[in-house]
Amino acid sequence: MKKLILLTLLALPLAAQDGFDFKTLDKLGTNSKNHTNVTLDGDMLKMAAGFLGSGKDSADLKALVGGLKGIYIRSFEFANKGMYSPADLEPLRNYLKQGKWNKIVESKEDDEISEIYLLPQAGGTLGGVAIIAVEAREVTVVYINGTLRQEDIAKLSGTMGIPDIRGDLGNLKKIEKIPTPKKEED
Amino acid sequence: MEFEPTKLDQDLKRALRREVPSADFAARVLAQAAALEKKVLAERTMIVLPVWRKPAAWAIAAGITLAAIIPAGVSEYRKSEERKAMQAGRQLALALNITRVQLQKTRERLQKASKQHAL
Repeated sequence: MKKLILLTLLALPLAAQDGFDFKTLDKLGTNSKNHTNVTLDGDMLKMAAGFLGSGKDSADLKALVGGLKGIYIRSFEFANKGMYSPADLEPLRNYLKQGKWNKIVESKEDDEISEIYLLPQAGGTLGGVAIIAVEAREVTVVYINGTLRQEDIAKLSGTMGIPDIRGDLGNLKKIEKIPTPKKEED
Repeated sequence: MEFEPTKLDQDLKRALRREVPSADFAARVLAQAAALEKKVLAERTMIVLPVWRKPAAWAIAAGITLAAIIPAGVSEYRKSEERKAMQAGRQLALALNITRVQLQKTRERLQKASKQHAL
């Protein structure tokens, strides 16, 4: 009985982050030069949505964010190659394999790996998106949990309504190092 | 048998014998009573006077303090909530930007790979 209670208590933080404990990714950033850590749960997301501005694009984005339960980002930047262990990403990959997640993209080129996972759910909607992006000196994990439509993924990859926060970040300076994406050609 | 008075009887008889009061006896009793009444009234006045022992004074002081503290507390709470919301807004914008960049990068890689494959 005591073991059961202990296991339940240990499982609570996991449940709070919707099944995956992002602390397991902390090892990945032990030698990182810069890191970005974003954890936004339901209440914080509601609070944050109010700062997405006004206009149609922002309204679309607010509607998108309104269906989400959580956004978790871990991004680490390293001074040199080989300063992290790719094996530290395995707990997340294993978690995604165990669930009903579908890996829809896997791209490998030299030291660069991109993986995109989607969680299908009833009614043709999605229950979440996960991205694992690995480069020689950078690792980024994006985990979005909540109801999304297929077209929302396109919205997320565009610039529609997403505020440009560079230069207005205070202590969140990491985004200044992320290049602005090229304008879509298609 | 003749009852002989004891010393106690004699003392009692002496103590309880009728005496004529002095001429100023009544005046002295009245003066003492007046003095006692004055003293009692003075003490009663001293007990009532201190403000800090009046419940009403405490209630007024508490009211003034609360009236000063509550609006300041509410304002500070609102500011704190606004700060939290602003920070959450920045975090959301950052998260959406990182997601956008990673999706774009993946698409570019896929396009590049597809072009190479076509060649």
